[in-house]
Parts: sequence; structure tokens; C-alpha cells
Amino acid sequence: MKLDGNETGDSMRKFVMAIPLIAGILILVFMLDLMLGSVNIPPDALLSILTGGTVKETWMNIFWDWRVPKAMTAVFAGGALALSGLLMQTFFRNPLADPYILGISSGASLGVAFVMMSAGICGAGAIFASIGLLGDMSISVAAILGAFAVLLLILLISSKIQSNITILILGIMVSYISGALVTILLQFTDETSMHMYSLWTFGSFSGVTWSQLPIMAVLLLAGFILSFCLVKPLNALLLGEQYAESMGMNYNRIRITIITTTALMAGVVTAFCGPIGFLGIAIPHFCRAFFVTADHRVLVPGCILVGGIIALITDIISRVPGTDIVLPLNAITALFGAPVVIWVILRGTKFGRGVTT
Amino acid sequence: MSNTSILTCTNLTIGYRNQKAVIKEVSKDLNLHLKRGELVCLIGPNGSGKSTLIRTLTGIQPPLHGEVWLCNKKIEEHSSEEKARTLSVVLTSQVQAGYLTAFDIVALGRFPYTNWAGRLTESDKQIVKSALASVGAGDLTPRFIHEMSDGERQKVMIARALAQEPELMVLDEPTAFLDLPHKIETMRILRMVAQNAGKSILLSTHDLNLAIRCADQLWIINRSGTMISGTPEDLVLSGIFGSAFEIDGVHFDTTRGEFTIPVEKRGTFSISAPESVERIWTMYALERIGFCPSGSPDISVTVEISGKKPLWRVRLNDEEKECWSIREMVEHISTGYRKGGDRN
Amino acid sequence: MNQEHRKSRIIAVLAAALLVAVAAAGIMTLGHTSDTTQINGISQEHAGDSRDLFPDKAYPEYAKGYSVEYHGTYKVVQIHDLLGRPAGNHTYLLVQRGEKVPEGYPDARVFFIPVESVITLSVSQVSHLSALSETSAIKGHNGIPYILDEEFRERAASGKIVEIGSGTLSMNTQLKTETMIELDPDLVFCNANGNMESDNQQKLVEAGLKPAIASDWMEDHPLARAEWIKYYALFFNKEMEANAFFGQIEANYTSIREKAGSADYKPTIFSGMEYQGTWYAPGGGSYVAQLFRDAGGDYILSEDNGSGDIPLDFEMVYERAHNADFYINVGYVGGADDLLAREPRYAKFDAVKNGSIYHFDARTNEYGSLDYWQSGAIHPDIILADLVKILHPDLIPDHELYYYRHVGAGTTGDSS
Repeated sequence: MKLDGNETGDSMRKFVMAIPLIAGILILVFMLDLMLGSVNIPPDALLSILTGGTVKETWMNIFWDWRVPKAMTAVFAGGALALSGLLMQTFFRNPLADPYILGISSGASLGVAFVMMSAGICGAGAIFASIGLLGDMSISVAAILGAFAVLLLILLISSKIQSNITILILGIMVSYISGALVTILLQFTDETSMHMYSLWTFGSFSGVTWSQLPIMAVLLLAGFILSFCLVKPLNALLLGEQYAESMGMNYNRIRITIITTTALMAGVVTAFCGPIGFLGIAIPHFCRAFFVTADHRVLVPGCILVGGIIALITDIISRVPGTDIVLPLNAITALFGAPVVIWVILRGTKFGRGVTT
Repeated sequence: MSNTSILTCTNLTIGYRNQKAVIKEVSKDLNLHLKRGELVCLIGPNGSGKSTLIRTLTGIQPPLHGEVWLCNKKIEEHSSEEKARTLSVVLTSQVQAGYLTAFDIVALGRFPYTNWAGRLTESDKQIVKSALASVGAGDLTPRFIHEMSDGERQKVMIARALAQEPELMVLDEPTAFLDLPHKIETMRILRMVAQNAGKSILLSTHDLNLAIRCADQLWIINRSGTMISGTPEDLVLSGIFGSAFEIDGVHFDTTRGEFTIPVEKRGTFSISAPESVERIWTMYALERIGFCPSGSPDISVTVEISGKKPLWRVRLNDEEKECWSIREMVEHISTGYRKGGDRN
Repeated sequence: MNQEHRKSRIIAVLAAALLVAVAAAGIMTLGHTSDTTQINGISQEHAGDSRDLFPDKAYPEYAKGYSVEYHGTYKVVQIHDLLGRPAGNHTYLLVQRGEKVPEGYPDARVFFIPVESVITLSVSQVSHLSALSETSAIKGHNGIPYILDEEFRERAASGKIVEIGSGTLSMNTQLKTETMIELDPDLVFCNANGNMESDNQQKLVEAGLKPAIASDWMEDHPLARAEWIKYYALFFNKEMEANAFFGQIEANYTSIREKAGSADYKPTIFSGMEYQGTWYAPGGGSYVAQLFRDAGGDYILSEDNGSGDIPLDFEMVYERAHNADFYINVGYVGGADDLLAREPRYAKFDAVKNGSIYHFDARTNEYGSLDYWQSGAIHPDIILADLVKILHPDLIPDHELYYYRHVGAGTTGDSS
């Protein structure tokens, strides 16, 4: 997609023109996700539901209590994961960075594993699980606490150490440590808990209910807003830290903001949906290639929209519409994401340094 | 503004302080001035502290002692935004951003002036376009930076620094990766920017030959951290180049204003030719192959340029030969000259 | 041009490497399977020996995981892998002590019977042995705190049964092999679990121990599970006790089933657990489904014939089961409030609104281990009785729920 004309942010203008189209696709896929599922609800019934007509009660319930929260979760989660991936790729100048590179999801997984499996060991987690109000939130709370702990650790270290490579390695090591601790927990727990934990790792948009959805949405919206505020510094960071500082950017402050925003979005998504992989790494690349720009004024909104679209598509596929079967979500995101990453890397050789490094 | 000094340092000592409070002094008691519209080249061998000095002067690294003044205000007293409006940089490292057009990159230079979203006003866009034009990169505007050659990329980065509308531009070895024509072009652009736009420019370079010709001031720092400053011509005449830079055998030719490669002397020559370029370059060629002018020459060369083509008459060993190019002349001398072996 | 050549060359090399790797893996598995014993090996009659040391014989009628042949002085037991994997089939020779080991069974593992000391690795094994009054033969067990059997607990408390695992219910237990070797048992009853990698057998053999597979828990029919008591009996020459015990169980089960079959109305049942939008339900061919059927219930979600847990879409389960009469076997739960707290959408099921929720955790201990899996393994008749009590209470008035607990309705009341 060669730009013609020597005007400013041609990419910006083209993007603005494309927004209606992309938003249209998002709405279309959203509707599709509402329509398709293992229970076959005919389109006219759906129409009735939306226009307030009367329909079979089960279909009403399925629509409002199952499909709508699921679709909305997918939209938010997809956008959040894509944004976190974008932030990390720009911040670390590494095309293979994903939202979990700081160890956020590992911390969340550790929190979840602890709650789920300590019931089988010493009864401590059972305390968590039976706290009435927190009941269905206990897993999510544990995940957020775990993610938060990792975030604090990272912030603490990054205040002492300047080098980003160090933080990167730290994040990876935190992932390993958390993984090791989870393995130890798995060793000692009973079969049911282990099974439940492994189910959690499959990832799912369907686990979020109406009571949880507002909390998740608000937190993720906060993340989106923070990301919009970061657009200018992110663009500056494309030139590197030194240039960015020479342009007046306060690197330390921006660094903390980026890390915190990523942790917020990745942590919340992991807490409510489990660790969903590949979307965070693949969608920013897709957006960069599709919009032909590295300008974050385009990429931030672009990733939110495209992230939502892709997440909805993977959800539709994992439901295998028309059949009873459900496929694990993480399997579908991997099947989508891996080819995209491969394509990007291969393209990179043709396009020279077309990938942000 | 009464005082035209853009960058001044007084009693400056630069160096490193690591965590054990061990101090490594790189250079001390520096007193330097950079005036408005001046182009200053900072020269020194590797490891002499050029980068340290640049980092200290741009406020990235704190000095061990003394002060740095930017536009009559201590550099640490500038807010980072103020500093960004006063000082912009061009670094050696290659920028590896993909899918950004030249326009996008130069537009980033407007960072200190745009709102929180980085939105460009019409005047911002004009500034960007004229910055690109002034470095001769107007046609690069829509092209992606990762598809450009090194020279083109460098121009874009200079344009970016220009778009930042600073008082002072600091460039860290901007010509390091460029080939000679591009090196020259870069220096030309910088000179023009200094003169026409009234910007002050500080650049560090290894390229002494270019620096002598282009700079208003030279700051020369040697391995032990001693700094000498002055106009290039004064410095050349003072003979400093001989001592500051000579490595074994390499000699600074004061007349020509450049370093020369010494050649083992083979003999002497005399030349008879009208004042012309042919005369000058014939002498260069003879010196290159090891002959120097003398009253009692081993060879004598006559250059006639009156005819259609220049003609060289070479007389050696009591024989005379006509040569129609300097190459012929050189070949003839190299094969024919055998008088008493090497004279030294 | 050069690039293209190089690229295709690299691809060719990679493809070749992949082929080689696949071929190697194939050869290795083939080699492995050639180690297996024959299925239904032909026995060789011991010429001229017409003694029959085993007057009582017990043959499996429901159980598919093993078969036995009696040959006077020895018994030949074939283990049939219930998942159909050839590597899971084994032949055991149970030879009476003092008798000669017969020829002709090159790959069989030999046990001298009656065995006097055993190590058990799972809870149902303990229950089977207890029913044969052979608890005293158990010298070591994996997970002592979880056993509810009284005699076992006493013996364990006095040190006569040694802990040889990590004391947890984890499937990945590291067994204390050295302790097991020290105990020097005649055999170790072990599981053939679905996962060949964590199957304990290989490690046991390498340690010089003799594993005997017991796959009672993998059988699809509740009677088949209980019938494995005959298998255990083979090692102790207690076929008579086993036949008696199982005969009683079978009779009880059959009579209860017939009673339940006489009911006109089959209440609808759904079962399983939801997790993050996916519902994991027992398959139509599983023993749970069999129990439901035999108890005179209509188990929805039973169209398929699979015996494992099938993952279904939650919304589909809701559509089909929202007005089912009963929700039985609910997975991990404390009370209905926990259920609802974990997943508010359970409240949309009629059975939950009415509190018709039952789970088999009435008999448990402080470690959360359930007697349903222990004595329940050998008393499918009581489990069936429980179910009939739930589904058709008037048909079986004298029976009180034994394994099952009425979870009841939540205190939070109906939502929507």
C-alpha cells in the first residue's frame, strides 16, 4: 500500500476514513457471535429478542445471560490484549513481545493456582473459595493480586535499573519462577483441582457473568484511556529512548505508565478469562501491516477495533457452531496467531526493517 | 539578545562517577563558548571523551565539577520541555523504526510544541515541510524510513532536529556511516543551516579534513583529555596539528591542510610548467611515487599544455620520453629510474 | 535466484529431517508393541497333571478388563486394556506356592499365590481387599490419610501399614520406591491410568517389584467395577468369598433395578460441572449414566456413547436441561450457595431453583476423601438404592440416603 502525495499523516487520514468500515465489521462480527452458538436460535427469533418481542424463555435467557456477556467480554478482552501487546512491542522495541512478557500472566496464574489447589493441600484456599461475596470472584481476585504482585516487583526493579533488557529478562525469569511454583502446587494437589486448573488455562470468554462484566469493562476502559494518553510518547519511543528524552519526554514517568497500563490490561483479562495467548503478539503486527504505519495515533484505536474483531472470530470458531463441541480458546488463538507471526517475520525479510525492532 | 553565546561551559570537569564513588575524570577545567550561528566541530581520537563531553553538554550526564550554561541559564535549571525547545540532537545510531514516513519522523521533531495527542497544526506541518526542503529531502517525504539509504536517513534525522526549532543542534558523529559525497553534503547542509537559519551547531566527528574546512571553531581533545579550541586556520598555523594528532609516520601537511601519507623517498625532480592544474597534479603524482623537488634533480619533467592535449616530457637517465598522460609518465619513471638505488 | 535455491534447499532438508524423525518414532513404538504379551494366549496343558488345586472358580461376567483360565496348579490371567491399547495388555501366571511354573508363557509375570503381603496404590483396592478380609495383607499404601475403612485406619495407626507415597491424592505422586522395596511385598496393585508416561508400572518393575494391574475403576458398568473383587480374590485363593460377596451385590442391584424399572415416570437428570462456559458432563456410556438408567431416570446429555467427560457448550446444556427434574453429581461443591456464587447462571436451572440437587459427598473425612469412591466401589447396590431413593422415593421407603447428600436450595433464593 504505497502512499501517494506528500501530505501529512496520510496514514492518519486513511485510517480515519477506514474507521466506519472497520467499526462496521466489528458490529457485524459482534452480531454473528450473538447469533451463532451450539443452540440454534433462528434469526427471526433474534430479531424479536432485540426488539423486545416475546420468544421462548430459554432462548431469551441464552441470549441475554450467555451470548451477550460473552460477546462483550470478547470485544473488551481482544482490544485490551492487542493494546498491551502493542505497548510492549514498542516499549521493548521487540517484535516478539507480548502482553505477558513482564510475567504478568504468570503471576496471575500463580495466584489462581494457589487458590484452586491449596484447597487440596491445606484448606487455605478453601477459605477463599467459600467467601460468599467473593465466591465467583475469588479466582479473579487471586489472579489480579498475583498480577499486581508481579507489577510491583517489576516497578521496583525498574526504578533501580535503567536497562530495558534487564527488565525483559526479569519478566521472563518471573514467568519461569511462577511456572515452577505452579508445578510444585500441581504435584501436591488432588485430581479435581488439577483438572480445574488445567481447564482454567484453556482460556474462555464465556466465564464472565453480568455481575463481573461491569468491573472488567471499567478497568479495561481505564486501560484504553491510558493508552490513548500514551500515543505521543509511544511515537517518540519509536526513535529510541535517547531521542525521546531529547524531545522533552520524561522517560521514567512514561516507562512506569506503560508498564502499569500493560499490567492493568493484561492482568484483568487474565483474571477474568484465563491466560489467552497470541492475540497480544499477533494483532499489533497485523495492524501495522494492514494500516501501513507505525504511528500510534492509528495503531491504538486500530488495535482496539481489530482486537475486538479477531477475538470475536476466535470465539465463534471455538464454539464450533452447529455442534455440541467446544474447543479450548487458547488453541484457536494459537492457530490464528502463529501463522500471523510467521507471516510477519517472513515479510520482514522482504520489507527490510519493516518490523519495529 | 545581547549575549550571543548559546552554549558555554565554565571550569567544567567531565567524567564518571560509579556506585563506589570512584571518580574517573575524563577532562577538566574546560572553558568553551559556542555563539549563535556558529558551527563547531569536536574532534578527538576514540576514547578521548568526545561522547562524554557531548552528553555532559546536552545535560544527559551530570558534570563532576563546574557548570554548563545553555542560553544563559544553567542547563539543569531548564525544564525538560524548555530544554527540548532549545536543544535538539542527531545521534549516530541508526533509527530502526518501520512504517514511518520521512514526514512522520520529522513531525516527531515537533514533540515539544504539540498537544497531548501530538496533533499537528497547519503551522507545524509547514515547519516540517520546510525542514525537509532545507536538507534537500523534499522528495523523500512520503517514503518509509526503512526503505531509505543511510544517506537519506541521515538527512531525515537532521530535518527532524531542525523541525524541533532549537537554538542549538548537537550531532554525534553524524557522518560516521556515510560515504564521502554524502559526508560532504551533510556538512554543506549543516553549514547552510548555521548561516541561513542562524542555528548553532555542535558536531563531533573523526573527519578532520572536512572539519577544518567547514567549522567556525574546532574543539580538539586529545587522549589525555586536554582541550584546545580556536578557529581552524589559527590552529593549523599554530602547528598544533602536528603534535596533537601525529601517529607514527603520519604527517600533517600545513600547506595542504591535510594529513599526508609519507612515502619513502626515491629521488628528486624538477618541473617546468606553466601555473596550472596540470602542474599542481603532476607534482602531486611525483610526490606520491617518492620524489621531491630539488635544485639538483634526478629527473626533470616538462609539461606542455599548449597543444590539443597536455604532453609530459620526462627526462631521466639522459633520455627523454614523451608521455601523453600522467599514468604513462609514472609508469615510465617507475620502470626506468634506477639511479644508484634508493637515495636516502 | 540464489535466494530461491537456498530457500527450497532448506525446506527440503527440513522435510527430510521431519520424515526421519517420524519414521524413527514409528519404529520405536512398533518395537515397543512387539514386547506385548499375546492376547488370549494359548495355554499348554501340563501333561499328565490332573490335580485341581482351585476347586472354587470365579469368572468375570460384567468386567471386561480381565479374564482368567484355571489350569489345576496355576491360573492364567489376561489383562485387557480397557482403552484398547496393545501395550496395556498383560498376562499373569498365578502359580500355587510350591508348584512348578509352567512353560509356554514367555512374557507372563509370575505371582506365587496365595500372596501374603501387598502394597495398594488406590482407594478402591483397599475396599476390595477389605471385603475379602485381607486388609491385613496390606503392608503399604499410597495416601493413608484418605482411607475411611476402620480396620485399615487402626492398622495404619499402629504402624502395620506404611505410607509409600506423598500422602496426597495427586496422580503424579512420587512413590517412595525404597520404602516399597524394603517392605518386600509379593505384589503391588497399581493402576493403568490413561497416561502411559506417568504410569507407575515401569518404575516398579525396574525397582524389582511386581505390579499387578487393577483397572476396576475404568469399567463402564457399576457392577463390573464391583466384580473385580473376583480378580483380587484370585491372588488369595478366595474365590468362594468373592463369589458370595458379589453374588449378593448383584442380586441386590438387580432387584433394585427391577423395582425402579417399574416406575411409570422417568425423572430427567442432568449431571456434571460447568467451568468458564464449558459444561463437563459424563458421557452416555459412562458408569454414571448406567446408574442413572438403572435407577429409572432419564439422563439427558446421553446421546453419545462416550464414557469419559464430554465438554459441552454451557448454553446448549442450559437449553436442554433447564427444566430437568434433578441435578445429580455436581462436581466440587460445598453448598448451593457456593454453586451459585461460583456461577450465577446455575440459578436458571429449575432443578437448582427447586433445590433438587444431590451429590455423593455425604460420607467424607477431614481430608475431603469420599467414601463413594471407597466402599462405594464395592457397593453399587447401595449407590443404586440411593439414586432410586432420590428419583422414586416411594418405591424404596426403608432406605436412607447413604452416600448421597441432598445439597438443597440456596439461601439466596431465586434470581431471575
